[in-house]
Amino acid sequence: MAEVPALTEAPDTRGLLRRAGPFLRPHRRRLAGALGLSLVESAALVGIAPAVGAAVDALLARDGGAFAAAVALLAAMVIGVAVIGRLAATTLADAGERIVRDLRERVAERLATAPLRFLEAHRGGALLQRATGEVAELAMFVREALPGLVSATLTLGLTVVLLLGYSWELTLAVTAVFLAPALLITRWFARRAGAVFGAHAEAEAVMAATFTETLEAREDLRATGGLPAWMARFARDNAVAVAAQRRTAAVENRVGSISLVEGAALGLLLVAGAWLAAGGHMSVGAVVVFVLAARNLFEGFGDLSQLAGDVQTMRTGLARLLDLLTAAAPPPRGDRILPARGELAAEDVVFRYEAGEPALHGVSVRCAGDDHAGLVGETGSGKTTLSKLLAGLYEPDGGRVTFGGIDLREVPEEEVRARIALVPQDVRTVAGSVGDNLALAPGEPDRARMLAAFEALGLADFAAGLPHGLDTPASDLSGGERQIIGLVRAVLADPAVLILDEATADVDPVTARRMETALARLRKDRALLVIAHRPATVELLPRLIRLHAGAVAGP
Amino acid sequence: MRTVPPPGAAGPGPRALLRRCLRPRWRPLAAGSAAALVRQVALLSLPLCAQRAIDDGITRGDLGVTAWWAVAVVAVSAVQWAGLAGWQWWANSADAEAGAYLRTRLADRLAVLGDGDVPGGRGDLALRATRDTDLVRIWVHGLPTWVVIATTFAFVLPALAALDPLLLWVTLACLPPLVLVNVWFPRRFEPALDALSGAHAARADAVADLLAAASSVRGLGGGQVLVRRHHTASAAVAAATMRAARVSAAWSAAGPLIPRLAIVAGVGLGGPAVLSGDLTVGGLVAFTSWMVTVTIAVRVAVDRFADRVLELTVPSAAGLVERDLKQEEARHG
Ligand SMILES: Nc1ncnc2c1ncn2[C@@H]1O[C@H](COP(=O)(O)OP(=O)(O)O)[C@@H](O)[C@H]1O
Ligand SMILES: [Mg+2]
Repeated sequence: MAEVPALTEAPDTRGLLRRAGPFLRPHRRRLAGALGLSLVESAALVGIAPAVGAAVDALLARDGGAFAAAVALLAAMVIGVAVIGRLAATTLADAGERIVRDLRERVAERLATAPLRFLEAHRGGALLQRATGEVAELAMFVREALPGLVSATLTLGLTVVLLLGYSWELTLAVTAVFLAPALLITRWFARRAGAVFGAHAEAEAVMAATFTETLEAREDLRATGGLPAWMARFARDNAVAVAAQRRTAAVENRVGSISLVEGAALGLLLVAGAWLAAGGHMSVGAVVVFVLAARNLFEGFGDLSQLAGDVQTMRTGLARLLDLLTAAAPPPRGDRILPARGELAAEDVVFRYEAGEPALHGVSVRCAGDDHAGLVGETGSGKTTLSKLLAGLYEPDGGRVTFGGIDLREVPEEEVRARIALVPQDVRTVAGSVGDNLALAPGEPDRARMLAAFEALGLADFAAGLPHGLDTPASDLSGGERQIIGLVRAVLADPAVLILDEATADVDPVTARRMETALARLRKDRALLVIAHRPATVELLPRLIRLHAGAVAGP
Repeated sequence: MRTVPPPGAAGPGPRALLRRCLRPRWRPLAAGSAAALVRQVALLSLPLCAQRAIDDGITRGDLGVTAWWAVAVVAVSAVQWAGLAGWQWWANSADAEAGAYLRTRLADRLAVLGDGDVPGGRGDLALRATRDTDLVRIWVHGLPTWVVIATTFAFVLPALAALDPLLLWVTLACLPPLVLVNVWFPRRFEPALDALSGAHAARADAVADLLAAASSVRGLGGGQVLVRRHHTASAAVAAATMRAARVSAAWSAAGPLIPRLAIVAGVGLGGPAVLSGDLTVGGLVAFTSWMVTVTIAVRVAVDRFADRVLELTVPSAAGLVERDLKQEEARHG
């Protein structure tokens, strides 16, 4: 069975930093610079308290000169924090955004080259959500949370270092009295928070649903006399929602109890400070430094515990992006070069979508460099599957597909795309005009070439008939018109082998006939493989290959 | 608090609804406001206790007095915490009950009316009912905050005047720039954020195109062109991110700069007063703590005043609830 790597819903976040290393490394200088600036900012911020303390000591010593110097130092610190802090935050956001940009651009490149089987296995928005929602969240973290996170961490660390410099005994006492209970309280909150906030969101959602149901069912309820019972249920749901919100308030109040711990730490600091100051081990100014710096400690802790949730979200998002990059990686391919022209051949090809009966078992077909052939067979016989294998979009589980005798797996993807083009039945257009869509063809053709391609397909009148010519929005096109755009793109690409999979099925028969005749003429010396149901299409083809239940049933 | 009905809102209807919504909840609202008042007074008293501990205890080397004030610090912290808990609890109760009341009232009335096509469909009515009810709830929840803002100024300004009029002048002088910072930066930040989400949306479109093309027209090539288009959109996201980040960095730098400059001025100017004995060292320390609280109060007040959106949408949300009912009644009444 073709191994399709699956996305993991909640990928492992262990070793994340190491796995993200390749994205961080190119920006390590900028990151280091930003961290250095943040360090200076935090140092200045932490320096405010000792500057005030020095001013207090100077005042108590009635030393006017020292006081003036301390105030000047204080002013310098305050302005330094603002100026450097601004620079640090911008630099950090810049470095972070560069990393996120690399990530999201790598994701886009991955999606463009991911195996078709992988893309088909992840329909329904999962890929889009990962490639957009996750990226936007990561960018927001970098912009909003990262500067605060870095400066809170550094400020907290430097504050402890500063206080240790004044008195290690007092520092130990304060951190012990504050930190241990604060951590316990934070855990006490976190233990219940998820469940309680989840239950509240759930209760609100139930209420909204009940309300909608009331609107929808009111006629019936009135007719059957069920209204009183229904309204009783409504009241019950309402009561549940009120109780759920009250529980969130109670859990939130757990965090509030940290202020009690702060009070205890401050009280301890005052008494111990007075004792140390009375014993001559510390100046009054030093006690003032402790009183002021304790605020940094408390606030730093609060900031960090608030940011902890953001960090967790960021880690999950990053892990999900890295998971996408790994899962969508194209299989290794060789770097051989294909000849300009050659025979396309499937040799004994086996392909399975799922474990069990293969969709193709041992199919061999050949299509010489100027061969025109039709591929026919009932629905489900494997025509589309074979066309994707021949175009190199699927890798066979057994056998091989070759062009000019070279296995397509040994050739870079672009090389295959340049030689073999496949127009599917369901052509999707991208945002923009018809011209924008045609510009996707190799070499980004100009308008003259686009119009010439319409002309060559006998569709000059179609191009002229578009409401705004090539500027007509592609979203206005019908399914048949999109198929025409797909065929024009194929003509612009001018590949050695062109495979059409029911590519004119949605076009009106007259236009389809005109295009098919033109195509046959246009590709006189190139290979053309046409999958079709319409007898008028099939009868134009000199040779037919018939598939039946995943095997060649003969010409 | 006064609420201004926006132009076009039904006359007395929404206000009457708001009154009906608030009146039965006066108990939790009054209790929440009282708790908020207690909490704020306690919070603002903490620097006062620390000041006395420094001035009467530590500076004089008196351990007993310091211990007494340290106990006071712990006791006041406990009061502060109890106030905070009460404020949270009752504000949440009032908000939850107001929500329950509005939903019940809407459902009661709509249920007895006939089934007609509600303009915009039932889903729309349900969505509006939820969203508008939520707006009223947020407003109810925030009512005690006004008590906190008022308490801060009523406490700090006289206390500073008592310490030293000079400190009062310094504080008053920094109010206008504080207000300015809190009005100016949101005005610059919002457009930057709008531009950023626009850039993200454009990039998301590019990714969607890439996915659509990759799974349906892979065989036609063109992937590299789409990748280039994506990278152009990605560059636009990077530019918009940095514009927003620059505003945000300037905001975070300027916000605390003003109270810190006030602290420099207070210490610099208050120093001579300490030397002349008009002011104490503990007084200076208390001043620095209060400056921080005043800064927060100004920010919250400006948020609530300058960001008039909520103020204006509360009556209009109530008005919508009323209007939905009126339209239904008009159709079936
Ligand atoms: N994406 C898929 N996943 C699983 N089975 C598939 C998928 N596509 C096709 N098949 C199965 O493979 C067989 C061949 O399908 P297909 O190649 O589309 O046939 P045809 O184009 O001739 O109608 C069918 O049995 C079909 O159900
Ligand atoms: Mg098919």
